[in-house]
Amino acid sequence: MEELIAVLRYFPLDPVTNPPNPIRKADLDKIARETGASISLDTVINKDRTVNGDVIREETMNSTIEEVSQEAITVSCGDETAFRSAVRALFKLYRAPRTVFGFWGSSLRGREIVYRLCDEYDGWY
Amino acid sequence: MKILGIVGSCRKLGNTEILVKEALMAAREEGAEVDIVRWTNYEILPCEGDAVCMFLGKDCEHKERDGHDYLLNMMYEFDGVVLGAPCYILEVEAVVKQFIDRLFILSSRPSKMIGKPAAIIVPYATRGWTSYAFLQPTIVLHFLGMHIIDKQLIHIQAMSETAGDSLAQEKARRIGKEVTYAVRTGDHSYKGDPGICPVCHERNIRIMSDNRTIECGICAIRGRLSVVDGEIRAEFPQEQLPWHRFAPESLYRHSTYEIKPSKDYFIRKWPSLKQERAKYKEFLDIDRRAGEVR
Repeated sequence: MEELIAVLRYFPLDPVTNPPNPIRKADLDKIARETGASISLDTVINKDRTVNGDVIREETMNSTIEEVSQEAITVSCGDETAFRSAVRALFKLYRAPRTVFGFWGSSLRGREIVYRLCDEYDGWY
Repeated sequence: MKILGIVGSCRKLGNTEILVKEALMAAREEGAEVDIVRWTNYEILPCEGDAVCMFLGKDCEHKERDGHDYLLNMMYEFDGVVLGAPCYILEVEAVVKQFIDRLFILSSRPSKMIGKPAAIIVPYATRGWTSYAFLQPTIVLHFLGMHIIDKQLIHIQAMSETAGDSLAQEKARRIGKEVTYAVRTGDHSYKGDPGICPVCHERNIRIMSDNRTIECGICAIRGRLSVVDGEIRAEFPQEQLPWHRFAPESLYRHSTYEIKPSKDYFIRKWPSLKQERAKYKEFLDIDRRAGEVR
């Protein structure tokens, strides 16, 4: 069975819902348990990022996608149903990443499924 | 204390021009130095979408060919703005949208209108045909970082009719006085119809696909609807308000995290895209009739 991989890259202030809903490892673990998918979280802080209260400053023009400050959630699973359930649950919590490059690193088939889930419900429409 | 009247209408001495001038007359009486410009006297070419202003920090390639840069820099010399544009088919005249599309240039040359007050005047003819009348004027002023302190719809039919309409003139004069007061005192509190959105005061609320959440389509703040005693109420959490779409910090983040990293994405994708797009170049020559008709 093909291993499906989706990388969901959330950049600062992306996971804003009502009320603000930061990405928590505990929430990811719960979704992983409930769906059977494997979910991991990588936090990236760009080398020149500064934070002063709510004010974040960072130059990203010449950064690679992977270098930009972000929380990257990786979902992987051999079972498509479980994979879909996990991604759908993540969208419900955090909405879909806003940009096309917010899925960079996903497998071809994984991205295809995630895009269809975005059309179905990405939280932005 | 300088106030600029902007007329987004082709009509010479039409209702928009008259109302903006009326506002400026009142502003002058209050001590402001005033001037006026008609945006439609200048060509504003469509944005080419090549993003050289965003990614390379270059001037727009239209800079020397049209009036956008000139009009933008003209605004920068003023402390406040009265923007007038007529409502045609649900929205104001297209010149406002043309101006907005070219504001990508702000990603490398920040606006010099941030925190300055502005007001909007929209004359219209038919009640019920104004659903998005304030949409483009609100977007352009918010995108420039201005504080909108009032918006007035003015019901009028005949060309130049406002020249003899004391009620319309009164509304315009109030706008002129309010902008002058706001410049002088720094009090930018909103004076118009409070609307539904507490940020932009518009009533164009979207119901999201979860059928539970509402969003102001302009400001992107989200909330809930409820019905109390038969009255619809829209509530937006206070903590969302500072993060509306056009807040300086939101625009910074949009630029930093949603636009700039796409340069790397484009660079990585380009080699394969060059090959993949070839068949579309071969299929039908879309530009073959270009220049046949103007």
